Amino acid sequence: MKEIHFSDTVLGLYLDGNRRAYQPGDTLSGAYHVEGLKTDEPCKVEISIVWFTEGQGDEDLAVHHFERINMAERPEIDLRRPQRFSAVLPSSPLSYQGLIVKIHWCVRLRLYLPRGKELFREVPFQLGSVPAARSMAQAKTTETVPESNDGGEMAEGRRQTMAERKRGKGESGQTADVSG
Amino acid sequence: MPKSLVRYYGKKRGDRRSGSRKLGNLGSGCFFASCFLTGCAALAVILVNFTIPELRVNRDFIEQTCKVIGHHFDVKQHRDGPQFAPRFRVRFQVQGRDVDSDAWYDVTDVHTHDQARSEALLRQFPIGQTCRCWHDPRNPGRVVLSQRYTWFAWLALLFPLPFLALGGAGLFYFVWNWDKSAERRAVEQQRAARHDPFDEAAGVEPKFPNVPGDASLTDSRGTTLAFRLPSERAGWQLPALLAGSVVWNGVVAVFVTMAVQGHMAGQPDWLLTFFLAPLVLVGIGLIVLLVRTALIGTGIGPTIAEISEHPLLPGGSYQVFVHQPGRLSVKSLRILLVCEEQATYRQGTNTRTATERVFEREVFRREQFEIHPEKPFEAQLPLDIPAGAMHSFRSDHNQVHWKLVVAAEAVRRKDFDRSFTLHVYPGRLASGAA
Repeated sequence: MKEIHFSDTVLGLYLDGNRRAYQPGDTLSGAYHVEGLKTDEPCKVEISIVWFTEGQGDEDLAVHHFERINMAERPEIDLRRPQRFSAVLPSSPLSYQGLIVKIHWCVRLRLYLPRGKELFREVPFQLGSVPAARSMAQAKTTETVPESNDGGEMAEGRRQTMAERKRGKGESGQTADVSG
Repeated sequence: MPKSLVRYYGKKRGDRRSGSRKLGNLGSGCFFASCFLTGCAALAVILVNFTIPELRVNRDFIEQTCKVIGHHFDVKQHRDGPQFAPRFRVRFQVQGRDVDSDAWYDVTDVHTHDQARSEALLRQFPIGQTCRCWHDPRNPGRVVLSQRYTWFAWLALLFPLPFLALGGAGLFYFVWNWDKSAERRAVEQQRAARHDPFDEAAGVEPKFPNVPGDASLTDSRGTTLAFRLPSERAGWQLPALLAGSVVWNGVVAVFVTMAVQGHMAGQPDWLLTFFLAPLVLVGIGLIVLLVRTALIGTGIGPTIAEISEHPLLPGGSYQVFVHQPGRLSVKSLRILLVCEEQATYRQGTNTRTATERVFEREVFRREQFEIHPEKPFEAQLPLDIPAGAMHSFRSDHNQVHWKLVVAAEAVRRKDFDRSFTLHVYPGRLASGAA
């Protein structure tokens, strides 16, 4: 379970069974909820299943599933209780860890509060099981340079940080983006 | 720095910015708004001062007979010198009552530096002459002696159009996208793209999103195997080189002729000669390149590649047939299965594409052999797509691209390689690595 706190508001986003790996055609389902929300507080919620690219090229993003709820129009919905979502995952593109092109899938939840404040939540998942690519040069030296050495881990860590910075988020799936 | 503070400035590469997105959007909005307002202001000035008055003179003003009782120059001091316009004093009757009024020649009352023009207009309406005039029914004191349409009052309306178009479109985009999440914008763009009237597949959800369709690869039947693969290298290189060489050398030849004639006449133009020298060298280089390309094209001949099935699936086994005609001594000929990643990004005003080869497997190699016109090289080979291979992928700025490469080194000829696109679809699940 992942939860985000902003002032008194708590944002939760869960995938059923805490699952993180899916195959094309699988049904991804989960729930989200918002705690600490006043009953009459006007807000909007967006839940989406997206893929986006990361790497040397400009970012591409596509949305597979998108729901937007304006609480002013749907007063019967109580965001403090878990709201279900589900979607059948497509055949492509599959998650991919390339060298200069990476494809990531995730579920994103955005909560828009009054006065332009916004809460953001993201849970990544894997679609398919394509192994990570390796550079041609690296592939030739893999036998002599273990992948788990410090340099390899540091490089991986740096890439992750840059990716999160690019999206203006904190650590993937664990922090909130707040703008106002 | 607290997260809630707006980051005003940040380095930017392409669409990536580390500063405040909202502030950036606001800046863009202000720019487009100022463009739009400038266009509106210019349009208002032109309408109020030129177009509408001219329209009213021709539609609303009342025609009268008047008598010129005086005239003079109206002079405006301008930083480029005085500007002139004729002024008339006329007398006419409105509802049986004599009215004396100042009159302009036309409603625009343009002042120009051309004094002779104003003098000519004064001579056209001498004092004491009776002539036609037109007065404003709302204001009888507004009188003109000429009723006509001018091109300027209407052509000037085009001036604010670029400002209105740029500012209006930008402002619309800004308002449309204001406070929308990246996902919501993407959804709207995807919906719009699905209704693209120029897209044959519009309105249909693709079975494999972002995997290139194989229509271009299966529309040509093979002679040995099922499909002939199109070559990635376009056949326009030789015609383009020929055209460029003819144009370049044709222009340079004109100046070379002039220079040579000067030398022969004993009046050499050394400046022209020195200026022409590098241009002639470029022309010679173009001819050499043209001849070399032609020799490679005709000597090596087109490479033909055919495949037994398409699209391909990870872990699948296929047959590929390669046919290479020509006349050459081959040092080595290799056939490779290759996967490359391509990433396109903007750097400043430039768009760059980076390519990284992530998979390469040699499926055939042969060394030291001859190809004759009567005995072309032909080989039918098994082609195995690795299990677990990433499928072909294409989005706006990123690609995963599979291809078959025929690479050869030939004696006394430039090395060449020819590529044929393959589309690998997501399919059998894999255990191996790409």
